[in-house]
Amino acid sequence: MKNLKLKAARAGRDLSQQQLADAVGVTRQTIGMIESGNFNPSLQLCVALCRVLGVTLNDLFWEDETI
Amino acid sequence: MKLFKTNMDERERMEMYTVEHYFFWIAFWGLLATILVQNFILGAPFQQSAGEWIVFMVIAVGSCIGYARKGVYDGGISQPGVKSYLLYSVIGSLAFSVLIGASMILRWQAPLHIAFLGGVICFVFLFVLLFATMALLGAYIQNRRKKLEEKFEDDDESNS
Repeated sequence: MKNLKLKAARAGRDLSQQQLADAVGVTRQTIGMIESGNFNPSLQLCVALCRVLGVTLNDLFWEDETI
Repeated sequence: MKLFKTNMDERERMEMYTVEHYFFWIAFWGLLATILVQNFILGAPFQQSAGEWIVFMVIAVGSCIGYARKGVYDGGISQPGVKSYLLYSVIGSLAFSVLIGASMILRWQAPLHIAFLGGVICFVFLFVLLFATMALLGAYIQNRRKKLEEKFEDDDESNS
């Protein structure tokens, strides 16, 4: 499942995938794969992403149940 | 302290481990197959495959010790117990005794009943050996699991 929230938060901060990757110490490919839903990051990386983007874990990773 | 500092991130490391995992098992079974083919089908002397045997045993014993120390039994297929020890012992000893019986016929032209008897004797000895080893290993793994649980136990739970 695509993580559009991460993409939106990154775009909201006017950051490229490369800039976000550099800020959290991963490769651009990793950010791309998280956004496209092809890689599940560790909690440690999730927290690092949240800190850089100034959002909470809920903002980026919580999905409301669809009825 | 790490010998080399790498810039690998967690995704790259995970993907590297996945690739290594697949090729580890290909190498493991491939090595076993080459040893068995050399010794039991082609009739090569033991000296010819001694090096391969040493490498294979290092991999097999090393993996078993590593898994046991982490409290891992068989990759989650079953749990340590008599039923599991029986199953693995029967599979292992049956596979090897069939191989022994077949090689007796193919290499030494042994009569069928002699090959069968050889297979049965091999099965009994191997079964006892494997079952005892599995039981010891299983008991050790259960003990390790208990120790690891205690090590990482929540203080609040242990006090209550």
